[in-house]
Amino acid sequence: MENNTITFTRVRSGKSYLILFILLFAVSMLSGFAPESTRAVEPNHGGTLTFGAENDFRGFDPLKINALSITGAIANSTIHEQLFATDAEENLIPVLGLSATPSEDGKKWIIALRQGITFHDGTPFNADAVVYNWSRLLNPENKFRGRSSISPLQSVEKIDEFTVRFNLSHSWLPFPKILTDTRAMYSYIMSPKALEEDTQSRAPVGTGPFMFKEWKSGDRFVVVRNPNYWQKEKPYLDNIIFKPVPDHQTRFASLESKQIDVIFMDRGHIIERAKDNASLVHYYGDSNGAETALLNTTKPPLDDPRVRRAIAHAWNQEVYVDMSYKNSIPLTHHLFGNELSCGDAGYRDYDLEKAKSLIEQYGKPVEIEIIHTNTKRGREFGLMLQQFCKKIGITVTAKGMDISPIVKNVFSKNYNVSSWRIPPMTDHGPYLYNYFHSKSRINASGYNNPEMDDLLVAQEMETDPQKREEILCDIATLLNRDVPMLYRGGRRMHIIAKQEIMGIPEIRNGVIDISDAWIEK
Amino acid sequence: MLKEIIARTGKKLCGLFGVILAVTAITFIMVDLLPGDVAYEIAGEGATLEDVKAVQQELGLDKHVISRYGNWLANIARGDLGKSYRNQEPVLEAILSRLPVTLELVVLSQFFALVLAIPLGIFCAYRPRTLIDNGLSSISFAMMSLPVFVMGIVLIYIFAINLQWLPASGYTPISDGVWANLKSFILPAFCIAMVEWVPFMRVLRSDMIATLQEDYILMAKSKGLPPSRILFKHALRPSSLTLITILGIHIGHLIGGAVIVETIFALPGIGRLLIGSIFGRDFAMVQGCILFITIAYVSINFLVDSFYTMLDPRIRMSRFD
Repeated sequence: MENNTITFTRVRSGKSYLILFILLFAVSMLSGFAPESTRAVEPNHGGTLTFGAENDFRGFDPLKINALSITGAIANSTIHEQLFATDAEENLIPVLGLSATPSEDGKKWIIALRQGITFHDGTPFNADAVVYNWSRLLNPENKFRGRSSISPLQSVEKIDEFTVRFNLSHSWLPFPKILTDTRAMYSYIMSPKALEEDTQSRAPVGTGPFMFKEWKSGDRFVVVRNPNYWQKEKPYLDNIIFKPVPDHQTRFASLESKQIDVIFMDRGHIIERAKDNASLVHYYGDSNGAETALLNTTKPPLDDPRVRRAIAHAWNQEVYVDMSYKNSIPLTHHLFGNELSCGDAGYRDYDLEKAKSLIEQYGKPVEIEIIHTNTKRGREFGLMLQQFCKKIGITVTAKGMDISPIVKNVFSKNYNVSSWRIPPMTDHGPYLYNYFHSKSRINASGYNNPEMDDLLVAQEMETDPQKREEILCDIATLLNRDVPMLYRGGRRMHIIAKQEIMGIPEIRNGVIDISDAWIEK
Repeated sequence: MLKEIIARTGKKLCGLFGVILAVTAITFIMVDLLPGDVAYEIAGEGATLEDVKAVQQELGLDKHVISRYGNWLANIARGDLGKSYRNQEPVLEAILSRLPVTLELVVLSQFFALVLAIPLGIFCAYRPRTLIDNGLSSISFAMMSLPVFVMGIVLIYIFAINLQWLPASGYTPISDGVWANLKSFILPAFCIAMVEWVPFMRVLRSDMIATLQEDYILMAKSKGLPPSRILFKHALRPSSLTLITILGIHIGHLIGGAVIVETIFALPGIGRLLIGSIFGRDFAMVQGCILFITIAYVSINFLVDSFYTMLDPRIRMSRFD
């Protein structure tokens, strides 16, 4: 059985986005809080849901861990809440925040907070808590490593007990939507007490529907129902147990043998088997971001755009996605997924003749090294790029490595081609700036193009959604023109659940929130 | 004689301490030589080089390896194994939480292996080069050639998916019930045992064939003792020395080396912790695991060595000649 829940995220166009925000808030508040998934019957209360994760978690303090893994984000969303979330149409909906009102110049945002909420440890949720969370991240002494993603944000001030003001260096279109990012830990509000006592990372405390109970690394991460949750009817489950089962075959076998109720899966052949199993339900959702490969534009021969373009034309994404992913992820021409209508953004199709001609123009023998992960999928990428490039006379040496040396080699620009990925994000503006602006200190491909620099600055400053969308598409087109990276496929998340597990919402932004799940008895 | 035993044991313990020190020093240097840096991973994708340097300073990774080893030893002397670089879990806590899983897996797998190996080894020695002996030899070599992950997947397919008798993955602590706990270990322990029983059976068989040629066995036979008494009472003990040695080595190896089985069956054991930490360049955790495994290995071999003297009085006597 299959439940297709594909997300179409689209930036709205309109004359005044500020008015639109306020209108959307009003509508959202009238229509209720959380997006209700279609349910045929009343949810049951009680029971324990076991979720089969790919890996163990790394912690829940944003100063110690910048970005969450997919299953880390799923666990995190059961404990912590954000000021706002988004619905299926990407409208902001209130969670811990009630409304967000911008100043005329768009540089200040007044956010009203929900009253009567306490953290799981009894600490009251109020303006002080929000200011503490954000000031901790924005204080340069704390060296918050995700600072570059929120660089326009300068400070957060308390106005009164339940009102705060976010001060920005300039009007920034992604704000306040950036506060809804489900993979970035900064968007979640945590107990100031737990943060102060430095216990937050291993024993997280939030305001969410579930409370942390125990974490036995490598074995289980258990959360229990929050009896004082502010949405009185929720949550429905008594407990959720996250179990890391690294081997995908065993994870699926555990689901089939009914030991585990829901699993995360990214292996095409297993997803196909799940679709054929009538006792299981397959959920999937696309998001922005992409599987990529970075090309180092600072080192010969890839400092010559003709060589990079030749590799792009020799690279057959369609064959790769079919062979390595069994088509369980979509093909992509840019990193915005369905979020933006950029068309093919000038994507360089598989064309061996063009590739050969570009190499001929270059006129020298080309030898490159590709570094990839030591995983089966990493090796497949290395071998396939090697074979594709061989057809146009490029010699490729494939080298498998652990993640850590890959990251080191990439950031110290000691590589030719490296497997990489762009995670799903609420807004990719800051990420693009960091990775492709010539002055950025983490421009890992070394790409240097004044035209790109201008576009990256423009996207940050632009306040008209339509114009910003055009700028972002121009950036995507320029990336395809100059090829500082290759696309290996788009992002699609797959979840497989037992049929009796209900209330699984649609998958959005590469994360699923299972807090509202319940078990049909 | 007691004085001599104490002196001898003390000397041996000093030697073992030296082995532990040498192993930890060598692994510290080897891990340092590995390409990659955990600071890059901790700093994350959006981090600048300054951020990476800050992480390196915070973790002390900017210091020379000798200085770091010295600090690590000083901390160990104070009983502080440090915290994981990746998830801030105290190293000692992480190891101790995985210890029951590893110990139970080791004990059960070796128990299953011995239950298979001892009777079959004795029988093959008693009836060497017969059809059954040859057949068992072929089966045992086939089992040994089978990769452990294949065995694991086959066992999961039969007992977890088809028959649904046993869980496919995960660990149930003994506090949740003895049977539930045992159920979570049967498949992984059996998976290891199916490979490990073979060398046990083969060495026991060959040692026992040699023992059965001894004069005192001939004497026992001439006295009319039944074969079971001769085999189990008179021949098994002197034939077990090699078996005990191999058992000790296997136990030591399994404490940190059952990583494939732990991964397939999602058991939170020390092997999986070690491998995950090596891949993540989590030096504090790697060193803690290595220290623990070395101590365990050395202690087991010390015990095995001492066990020889209990099994064979001739060894005890020869040591004091």
